[in-house]
Amino acid sequence: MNNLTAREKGFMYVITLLIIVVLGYFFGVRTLNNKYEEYKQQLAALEQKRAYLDQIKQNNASMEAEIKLLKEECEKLELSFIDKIETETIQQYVLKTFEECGCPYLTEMTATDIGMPSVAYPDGTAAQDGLVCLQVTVKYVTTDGFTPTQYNRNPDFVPSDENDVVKTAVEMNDQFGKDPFDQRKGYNEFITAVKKINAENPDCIKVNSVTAGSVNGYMELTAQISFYGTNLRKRLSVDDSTAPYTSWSGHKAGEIDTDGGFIGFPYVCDYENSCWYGVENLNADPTQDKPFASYWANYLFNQKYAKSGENIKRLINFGAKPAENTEEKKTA
Amino acid sequence: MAKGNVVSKKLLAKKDMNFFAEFTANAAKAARMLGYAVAAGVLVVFVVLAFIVAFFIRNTLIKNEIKALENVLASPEYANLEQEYALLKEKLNEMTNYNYALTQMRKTVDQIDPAPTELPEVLAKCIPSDSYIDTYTLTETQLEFTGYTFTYYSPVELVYLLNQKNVFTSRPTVEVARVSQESKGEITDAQTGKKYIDVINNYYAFSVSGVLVTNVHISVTRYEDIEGSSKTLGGIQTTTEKAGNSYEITPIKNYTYAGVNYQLTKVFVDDVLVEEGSFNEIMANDKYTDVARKNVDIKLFYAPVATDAAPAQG
Repeated sequence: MNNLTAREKGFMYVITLLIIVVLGYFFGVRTLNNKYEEYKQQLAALEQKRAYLDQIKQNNASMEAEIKLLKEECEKLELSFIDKIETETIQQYVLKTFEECGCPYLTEMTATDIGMPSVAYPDGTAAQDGLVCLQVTVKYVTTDGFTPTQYNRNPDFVPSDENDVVKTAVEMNDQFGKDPFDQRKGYNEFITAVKKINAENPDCIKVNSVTAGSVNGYMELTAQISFYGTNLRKRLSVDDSTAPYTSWSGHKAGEIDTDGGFIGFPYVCDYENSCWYGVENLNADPTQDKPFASYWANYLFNQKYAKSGENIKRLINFGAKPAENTEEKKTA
Repeated sequence: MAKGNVVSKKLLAKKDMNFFAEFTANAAKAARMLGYAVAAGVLVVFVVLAFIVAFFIRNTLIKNEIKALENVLASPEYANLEQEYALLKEKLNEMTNYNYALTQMRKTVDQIDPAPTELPEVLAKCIPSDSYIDTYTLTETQLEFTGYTFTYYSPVELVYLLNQKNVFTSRPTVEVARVSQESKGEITDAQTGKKYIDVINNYYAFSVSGVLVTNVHISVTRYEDIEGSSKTLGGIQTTTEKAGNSYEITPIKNYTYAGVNYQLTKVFVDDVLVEEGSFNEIMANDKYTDVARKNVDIKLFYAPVATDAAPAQG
């Protein structure tokens, strides 16, 4: 270096500086700058991703809000139908409504499941959820404004110690055309009941038809009522309705007397706990062959009782009614 | 020599002095130049270093920013957004289908009108005093009755009174016929067994049958108009109108569902495409109007309106 001239030294100095600058630029500034560009792109990508995610976030919030709204709407729709269609509950409600409105003379009631159109999703595939319809048809009659009435054992004509059939019949004989049987009742009461049922829940109870017709001085009245429910796999709402057509409003299980119920009516009902106690089976034909008895027994039975028109009750050691016993003794 | 030496010495001294002075000046200049050069060199190095430092700091800052953003994106708030989106989309689809099924059930039931149970009372008030109704049948859409009357004006008066109360939609059929003597027949007295003909004025049997003023049900379903999509935008909306009344659906042009804006593209009425002129009118007025004559099923198709970076839903 010492041999170099000042000019050369200066030149070397400039060269060194240039090298430093160049190295500084290439390995420092440019690298950092390039890195910065990368970072900028990375940041821009991240910001774009954030913007995208923010948009998704916003969409998620909208979807959540929409799901919430749909859920509320679905729950409301679910509750607009009857949760569980139970035939006995609905029939009990119908009978009670008519009776409470003053229309007790039922002649017929039927319940039929009505097929409803299948439900499909927008893409045409069949939904597993479905609509259920139970149609209850009731036929009532009015009174004729003359004949004494009776329903649900009121008044009771089943023979018992307290109830003398003949005496009751004689008493009733004087009541034809007299108060309270001198008015034809049941038509206005029927219409009131039908209107009440129609107004009970128009979303799921609809009276389909009302028919009236004259028969022998009284009127026969028919109403057809449809109850709509659903069969849903994943129900969202809880139906805690205590409406009389959704929850049983009759006697509770323990309150229903089942002591006297029986299967198969004999010649004369001798089940003391039964309300049919003492009732003779008028449908039984004594002349019919009885497979459980010998031919001789059948023959003797027919000879002894059927042909002579004897009271079948005497064949059986029936009851211990003082009145009947006395009557039997008298006859004997 | 001595004199010459003296001169020479003086001369020499002067020359030396000049030389030194010149040398000193050059040296000073060189030193100054060197100083400048060093200063310039230091400055250049400093500038280079300053740039490096500045760029390093800038990179550090942006790196921190990136890191902060990455942390934000990795946070629970953002990390599962896409999965959430997919789940919500599926749930929304499921819920939309369920809602559609329920509204379809609702539509089915709503389209069944109950029999007008107030009509028996109206009918009872319209019966002329010389007449009686023997039988009647009342359904959702029809009223039929038969009866007897002494005068043949009464059945038509009865129908007139019913029409005054807007019971029937169209003209009902009224039939009146005299009850013939033969049809009444002879009556046998139960006690005497004597046969005789019941003496009674001429009377007439009549029957009336008419279509009742009923409701019309308008059901509207909105569909997404995308190729291959059968997605509905909500369920079926069923409204009830009195037959003969006019109704309108508004607003109809735009619809927002689950945060997405849609625009009406086509309209089907009972599966028949509404033609272009009528469609343009619907778009211009932003409403669909018609008269309720019968139950109508209206399908509205909507296309999503493009928005920036908004992922399409559904």
